[in-house]
Amino acid sequence: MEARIRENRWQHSPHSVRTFISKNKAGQSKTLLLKPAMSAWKYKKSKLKMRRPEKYTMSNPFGRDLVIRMFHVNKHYGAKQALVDLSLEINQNEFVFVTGPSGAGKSTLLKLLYRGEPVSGGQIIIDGMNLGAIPDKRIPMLRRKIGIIFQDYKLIVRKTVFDNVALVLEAAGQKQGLIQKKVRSVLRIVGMEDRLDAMPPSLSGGEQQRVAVARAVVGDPTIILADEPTASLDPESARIVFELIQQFHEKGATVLIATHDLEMARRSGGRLIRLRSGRLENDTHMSDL
Amino acid sequence: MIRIYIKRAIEDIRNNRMITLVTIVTIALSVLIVSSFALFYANIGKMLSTWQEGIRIIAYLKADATEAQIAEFQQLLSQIPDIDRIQFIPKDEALAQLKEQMKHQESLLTHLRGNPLPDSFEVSARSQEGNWDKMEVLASRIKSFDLVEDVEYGQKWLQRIAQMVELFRLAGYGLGAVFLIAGVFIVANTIRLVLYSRKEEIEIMRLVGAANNFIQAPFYLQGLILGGLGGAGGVVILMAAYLTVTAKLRQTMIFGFIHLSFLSPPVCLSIVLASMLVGWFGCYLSLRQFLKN
Ligand SMILES: Nc1ncnc2c1ncn2[C@@H]1O[C@H](COP(=O)(O)OP(=O)(O)OP(=O)(O)O)[C@@H](O)[C@H]1O
Ligand SMILES: [Mg+2]
Repeated sequence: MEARIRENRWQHSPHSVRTFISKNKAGQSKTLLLKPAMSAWKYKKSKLKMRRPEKYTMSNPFGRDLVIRMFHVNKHYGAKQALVDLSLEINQNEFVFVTGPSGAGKSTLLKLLYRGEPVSGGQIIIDGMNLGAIPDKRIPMLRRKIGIIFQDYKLIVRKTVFDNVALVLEAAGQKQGLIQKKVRSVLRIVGMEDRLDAMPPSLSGGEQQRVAVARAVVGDPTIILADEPTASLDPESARIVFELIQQFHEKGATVLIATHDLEMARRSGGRLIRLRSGRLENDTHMSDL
Repeated sequence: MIRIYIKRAIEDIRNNRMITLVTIVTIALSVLIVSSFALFYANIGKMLSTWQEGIRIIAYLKADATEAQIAEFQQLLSQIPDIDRIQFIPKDEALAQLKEQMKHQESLLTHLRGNPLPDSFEVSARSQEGNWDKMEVLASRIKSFDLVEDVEYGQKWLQRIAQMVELFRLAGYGLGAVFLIAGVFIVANTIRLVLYSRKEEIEIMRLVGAANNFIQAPFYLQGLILGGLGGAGGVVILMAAYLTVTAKLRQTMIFGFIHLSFLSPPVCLSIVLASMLVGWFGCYLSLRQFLKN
């Protein structure tokens, strides 16, 4: 069983992962070359360094393929155990469904990953960042590696569609020119390019969720986390949103979707993690079922 | 980046027009009260120092002073650097002056036997930035000479006014401090309301990777704008009031004797800057509290 999963992982880490990594390496060596020419201040501000917080990086004997690692993670809210001794490894560019009955700890698992909540015990390492060790000040750096999609969209109702998506890049300190280009291109992919100036409340649920997907991916995150992204949508909108997430997965992102919708999981293929009462009940691949 | 912050700050101000207006008006009134104290003090202080320039110290000599002693005393006085002009007034001359002044009540003096008045010196201090302390020091120094029976300087009422002005200045400081603190809390309260109305939005910003600085900057900007507008408003109102009052005074006689002027531009600027600082600090307080929970 264990062996089969490993085998599957190999099959499922596509070619694009390699190129992604080598690009990263090229990027890094470029930074190092530039370093002496830059002032210390500029170097500190350089985006490349921000994305590579060496100080908090643990060496990874398996290379960069493991994007998420959880070691014996516990999480309790007061006396309530939400997650119990959960260990998980998720590869670069995997497509993972997290299922389980209500209250199983799916949302909690995702929250721990973007550090919406601290762990109560154990360790989580995301793309080399040890979440227990990073100071609060660096949480934004973590969140820039992660795009999050919620069931209730969580769009800012007072901002236009464009501004909602642009916010991610503005917060990351990107230049206006780049923001304009990128936001437009992402909104075109999700089919919202003609609603740039609309306010979220004037959109349908499906449209709002497409904007939310655009916002999640506009910063080129390593990981996309989605908590019941299609639960409040009609089947057609749900299909569109799901296909969009798949589309961005194909571009290289690692995807975790918490859902009750086993049908969607089945259709898509991918890894299926089943939780029950905060424990890992099952970890299989769709093709095994 | 700055453009984004300004946009967000202005958006907030627009969305909370009423409370923003109330805040600005309150700050403006506080600034108005404090700066009117400053204006009053600046003018009365200037007036006092011009009046003071004309003040002389009169040293009354002991009755038994001999001519030689008087000459020696004059010599000593002329060596004091703060003294500008010395005039000896013999008692006869003093009596003649008195008689001149009391022409109509001459009967009071006719029965005088001899001259009850002492010889005296009239001393003018070197004119300097009118300073009561200096005047007092000089007077007590003159009084310390053996030959001097008593000194008299300044009109007593002038001194009393000076004391009152001093009191006024202290009251101004006290009031200024009170209004400064009040201003800080008013801004803190306003920003807190804005923060709570944006709570959800701030939460979302955090989720998409916005750092604290990015989230806070527009609020600080708002604090500065509220403080700045309030401060400027206060100064402008004071200016308007000042112009109205001086225009009225100009029609009366008094204006010829007193010379009024408005607060200097650097002082006005400092008032506006101080009030911006108040806005900034108020914002700091509520952000600190907000981000804690
Ligand atoms: N903030 C919280 N405070 C207290 N208890 C919490 C909190 N968040 C979650 N829990 C509890 O932790 C457990 C796991 O919750 P979680 O939201 O992760 O479940 P879930 O699998 O996402 O459920 P659902 O399918 O209904 O969304 C539940 O029993 C829940 O009551
Ligand atoms: Mg949930």
